Amino acid sequence: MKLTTLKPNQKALAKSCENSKLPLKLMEMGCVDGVEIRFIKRAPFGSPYYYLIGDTRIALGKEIAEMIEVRLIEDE
Amino acid sequence: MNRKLKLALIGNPNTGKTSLFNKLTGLHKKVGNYPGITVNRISGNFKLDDGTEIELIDLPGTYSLHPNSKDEEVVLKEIVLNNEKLDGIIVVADVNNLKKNMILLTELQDLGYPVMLAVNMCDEMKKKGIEIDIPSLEKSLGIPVILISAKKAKGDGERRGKGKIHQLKELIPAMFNKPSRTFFDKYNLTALNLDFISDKFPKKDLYKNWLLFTEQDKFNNIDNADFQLIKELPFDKPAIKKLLQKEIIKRYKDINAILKNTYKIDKVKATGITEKIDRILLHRFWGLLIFTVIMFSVFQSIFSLASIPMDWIDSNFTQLNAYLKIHLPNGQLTNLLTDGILSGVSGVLIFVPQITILFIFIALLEEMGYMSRIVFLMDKIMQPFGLSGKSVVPLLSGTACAVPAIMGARTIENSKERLITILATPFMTCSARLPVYTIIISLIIPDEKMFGFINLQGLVLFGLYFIGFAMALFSAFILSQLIKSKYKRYFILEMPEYKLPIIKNVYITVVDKLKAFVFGAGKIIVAFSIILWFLATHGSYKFHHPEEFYIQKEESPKAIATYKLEHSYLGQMGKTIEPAIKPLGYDWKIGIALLTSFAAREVFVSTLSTIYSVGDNNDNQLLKEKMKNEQNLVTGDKTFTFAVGISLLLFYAFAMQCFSTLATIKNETKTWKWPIVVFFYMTGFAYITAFIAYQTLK
Repeated sequence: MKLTTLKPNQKALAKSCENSKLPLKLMEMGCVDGVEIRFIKRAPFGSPYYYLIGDTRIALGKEIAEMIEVRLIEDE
Repeated sequence: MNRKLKLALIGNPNTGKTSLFNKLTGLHKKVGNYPGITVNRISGNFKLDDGTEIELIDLPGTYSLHPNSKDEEVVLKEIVLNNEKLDGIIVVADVNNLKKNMILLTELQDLGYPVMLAVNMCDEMKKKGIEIDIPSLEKSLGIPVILISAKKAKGDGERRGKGKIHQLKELIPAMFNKPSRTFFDKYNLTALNLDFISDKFPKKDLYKNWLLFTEQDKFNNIDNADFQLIKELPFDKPAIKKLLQKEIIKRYKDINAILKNTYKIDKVKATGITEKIDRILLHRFWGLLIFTVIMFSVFQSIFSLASIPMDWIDSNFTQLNAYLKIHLPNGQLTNLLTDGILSGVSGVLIFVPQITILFIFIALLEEMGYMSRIVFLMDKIMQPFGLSGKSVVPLLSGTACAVPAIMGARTIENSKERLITILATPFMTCSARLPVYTIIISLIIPDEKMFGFINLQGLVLFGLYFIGFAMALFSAFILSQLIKSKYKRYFILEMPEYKLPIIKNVYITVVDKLKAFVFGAGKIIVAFSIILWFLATHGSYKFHHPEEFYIQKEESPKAIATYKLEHSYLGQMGKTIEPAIKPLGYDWKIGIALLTSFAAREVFVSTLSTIYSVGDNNDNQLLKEKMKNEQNLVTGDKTFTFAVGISLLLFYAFAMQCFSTLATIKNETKTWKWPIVVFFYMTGFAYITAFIAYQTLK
């Protein structure tokens, strides 16, 4: 599923960060395959999206977040 | 012992790098700029206890050596080419996300630099459940590591020379002793397909050559034999990108292995507070409301709060001017001093209150971490126009005055977005346009109500504010299509932690901006003011001997002043441009007023009152009557018709008539190119719209 489909507070694991279309900066900031991502909230006007990626709070434009595939972590 | 060392300070954005820089170097900083680009080169000095002198260079914040913007490109070039001959590098990292910060660190280690790691923000470690084993970290990295808190200084022994910052200074010599670890050369180069590089070049320069190879489009004209060879290697962009991604994954693996036994963080505790605040400040209703309130206070403060010291400066300079005129011997030199130099200086100082207030706000918002939230809230709206979310602050400030607003664009990291913001801001309706609007509107728009409650004059004024804003956005859009950048725009923004502001940092920011303005743009403003004074007070024979031509000897001094203005060089210029402004509906008198407006737009009003010989009081009502009755001597037509008024309003809305703004643009972009471009596109656009308006309405 796409990262943008997460609901607030849902957690997921990144699985397609080695996409050549994604900017390198994203990986440098810690968005690598297997990292845990939690969706925090969307901006009032729809984009960007606000996540906790690893230990870092990062806001991503919709076009970037849509390119990241994730696997949902089931709530314990 | 008098050793000199040159060190660079480098780190991710939001790591408190600038705070540390301020702590280490105090107020002794030099701001220059890198040749050809608008990135500032900031350096400062400090001394170690053993007498070693350190020159510290504060490099722009970046996540790695692979640049995403012009600012980050500076870091790549400085580090890889080392034109500055750096002896070593201090890497600043944020204790809250050490992992991410260490990508840059390991890259620098691979380049063979002596490095030390300063882990900042250690004061909140306990609260966030963070534990670090410094000795093991030092051992596994092979570099000195120190915990610091650039925020706290007093009370932790800094005064007695035992504080964290002092410890950092003491540790500097150690970075040259330890054999720093390398990472890149251990990666399986065959698997990375890097044999083609490792075969050709000596192992010690491996990572440097890898950077030269992968970022070769950023190194255009460097004189380096290796680079010439590197450029001949086959370059397959998608494949290279894959390799770069692999490199990062490998670095993260190494970093994870190192941090596994040396670093612990309680994620929930670490991010809890900031996230809670964000739930309110980024809320679709409360967040926008708070944002509006903050922006409104900024706007109000630079608009009305600043007017108190501005009036004070204005009246004091007027008094000083009058005093000097009485007490100094009458003559050219006195006039040059009072009307030329002094009015130029007061024209510079008058901006100081607004710049100070705006930058106190900007520095506070930046320090506290709110600036990133402004970007988050506003990006969606600004992005279609090629602007950053941060452009909101300069654009809004532009409604008070373009000068501080343009300086405020400094906070925008992306240089293309910063440039577009700078070029679009002068279209915003600044307060100097207001007196001009007021008098012309009162002249041509009836004081009537529409539908019984909408005041027509107010509606027109609102319309003028609106078209200014619309033109700012429109020109931003056009510029974003025209200005090329090799960096694609995408939105990735770290949301820093909320922090209490460090007052010293705010103070340093404000002082820096004021210095930059007074000694940069200020010089140009004074020079222009002297030129304008000269043009208005010198002229042909008729100017210097009005009594020979002025038939009615009993004429009032004001009338003589009018006659003199008409025959000054400025008056001659007004007459010269008359053919050009006639299609807009203006005569040479308005032409003079247009020219004098270059000192400040509101001068339009006082110039007209001089030309129309209104009595000494600048009462608008009187001037209005004069303007109403003013007619063309040949045709007998009224000068200020509806068509002329509209044409003037549009001209003042769009034309670039403010040399303080031009001087500031020059100062901020470090080139005359952009002020010249702004002057011609704004004035050209103003001319065309005023022309169309007059020709259709007359």
